Amino acid sequence: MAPITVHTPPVLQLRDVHKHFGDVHVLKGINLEIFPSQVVCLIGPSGSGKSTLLRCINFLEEYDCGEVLIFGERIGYSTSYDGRRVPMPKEHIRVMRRDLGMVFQHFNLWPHMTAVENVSEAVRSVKKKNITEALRISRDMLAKVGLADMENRYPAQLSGGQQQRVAIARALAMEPRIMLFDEPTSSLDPELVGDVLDVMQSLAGEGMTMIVVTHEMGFAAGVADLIVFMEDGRILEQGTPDRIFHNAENRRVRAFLQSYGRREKNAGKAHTATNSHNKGVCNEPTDHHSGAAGSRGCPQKRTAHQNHQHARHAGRRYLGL
Amino acid sequence: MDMPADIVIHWADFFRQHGADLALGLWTTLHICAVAVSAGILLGFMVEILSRNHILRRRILRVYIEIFRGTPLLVQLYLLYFGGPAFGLSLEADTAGTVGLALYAGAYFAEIFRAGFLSIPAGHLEAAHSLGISPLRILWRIELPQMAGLIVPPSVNQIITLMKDSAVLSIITVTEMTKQSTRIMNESFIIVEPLCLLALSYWLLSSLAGWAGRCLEIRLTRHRSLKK
Ligand SMILES: Nc1ncnc2c1ncn2[C@@H]1O[C@H](COP(=O)(O)OP(=O)(O)O)[C@@H](O)[C@H]1O
Ligand SMILES: [Mg+2]
Repeated sequence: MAPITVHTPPVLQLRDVHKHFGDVHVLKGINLEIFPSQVVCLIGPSGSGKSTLLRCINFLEEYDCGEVLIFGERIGYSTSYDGRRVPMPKEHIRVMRRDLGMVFQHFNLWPHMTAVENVSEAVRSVKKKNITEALRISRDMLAKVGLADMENRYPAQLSGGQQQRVAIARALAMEPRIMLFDEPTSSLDPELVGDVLDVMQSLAGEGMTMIVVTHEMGFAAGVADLIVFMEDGRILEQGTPDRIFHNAENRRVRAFLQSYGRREKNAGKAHTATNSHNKGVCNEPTDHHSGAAGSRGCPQKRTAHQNHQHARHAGRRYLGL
Repeated sequence: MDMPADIVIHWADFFRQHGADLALGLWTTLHICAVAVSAGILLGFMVEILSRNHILRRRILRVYIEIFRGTPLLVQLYLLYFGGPAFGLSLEADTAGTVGLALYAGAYFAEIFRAGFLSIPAGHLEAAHSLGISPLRILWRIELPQMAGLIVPPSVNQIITLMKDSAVLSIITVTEMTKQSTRIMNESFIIVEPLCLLALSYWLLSSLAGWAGRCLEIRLTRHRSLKK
């Protein structure tokens, strides 16, 4: 594997991040750098600290020591003149969070608001757009995720997959520069997973920087530029999908992926069938992939942009699933 | 066959003599309850807002809730009205009654709001925080509307209880419905009519509150019962 050379500064940097829940040491020194337009899939057994890591990035969770830098600026804490760590004012954290969109496993839509109200709420109150403008932006976003005709439905009237796509639209409407996904498809019925992955994939194709905690190995293999494997609060190994899925150095990484492969293979047939219908959520090809993206070491994704829906199937075939 | 006519004349006489007193009683009950309930809701809300995310304040305000929930309303009113002057606080009967009822109500409404806040899934708030929405806006646009449907039934329950409890104010000489009825009984030795009327009035007020509450609840929870 040729080394990846990157000339742009990282958009996100974690330096020796530690986190305890009471006596439990959940993150044990995480170091990670993420570059513009990179798609990073965070995988690993459950309880390994993936969600906690993601939540430390937008400071939904405080971290005990280390640094989380977003576009070079530390989130959550600043250092006082005598070198002590002082909490950042809440307003400042709120401002920094605008660069970060987050999508949760359980959607977390507000049940008393319709789809379009869910999307427009923060556009109005945080971006201070007037209501007409906010609605226009929100409708555009709903159309982008393939839900143009669902804007007046309440979450209770939407399927899980549709709710998750509204949640994605809600995050995208804020024009974040980095998107964080915490197991976005884990609570969906298998036949709805494909729609959500399609949206995420087209987002990746547009050059969005994404960190995705997922158990969808097909997606990880086909879409990610970087796979990060976590276990027990540590990053055991990171690298390109090719390396992690076929040449992982760490024995535990190999064991985890093998056990995964067996399970997926059993459920595989039904799964790929549902992934194959394309919902037309992909927008016209955009060319954001020059510059930093060029050095990402994942050429097949860029050249195959027109039919990037098929990358995941390629990913599956590639994994032998 | 002259019985109905007798009854009509009898009630007409009764109202001519005591109508004004009864109307005053009804008015006093209504306005004291309206003020005390509104103040109680506001107080309960403030107590809950102040105790969120603040352990010391929560402990202090917890004492308030425990005291006012844990002692009889009558004793609280005695302390305020008869015991008040000993602490340099002499209130008129109406004021003491209203303040006492509001403080008593506040303790219960605080608990209702606490349940309301607890009912909101943490994830819904995290979603709002991750979008950078301000805490005040989250409270106003996400928390309150979402818990509204849930806290309406216990609140209506509480309001009905408070309306009936307001009868206790008669003991500290507030001229509300019960006081007026007992006065008529003592002065005219008519017993059954004022008591029946009193019971009917409380029942009507409670039913009205219950009906309004159900209408409100249906409105507020419409999003839950929608068809796909
Ligand atoms: N709020 C919390 N309080 C206490 N322990 C927690 C909390 N959240 C997570 N944990 C613990 O931290 C560890 C990592 O959790 P998590 O980050 O959710 O793992 P993953 O997302 O990889 O499944 C687990 O052992 C979990 O029990
Ligand atoms: Mg998790």
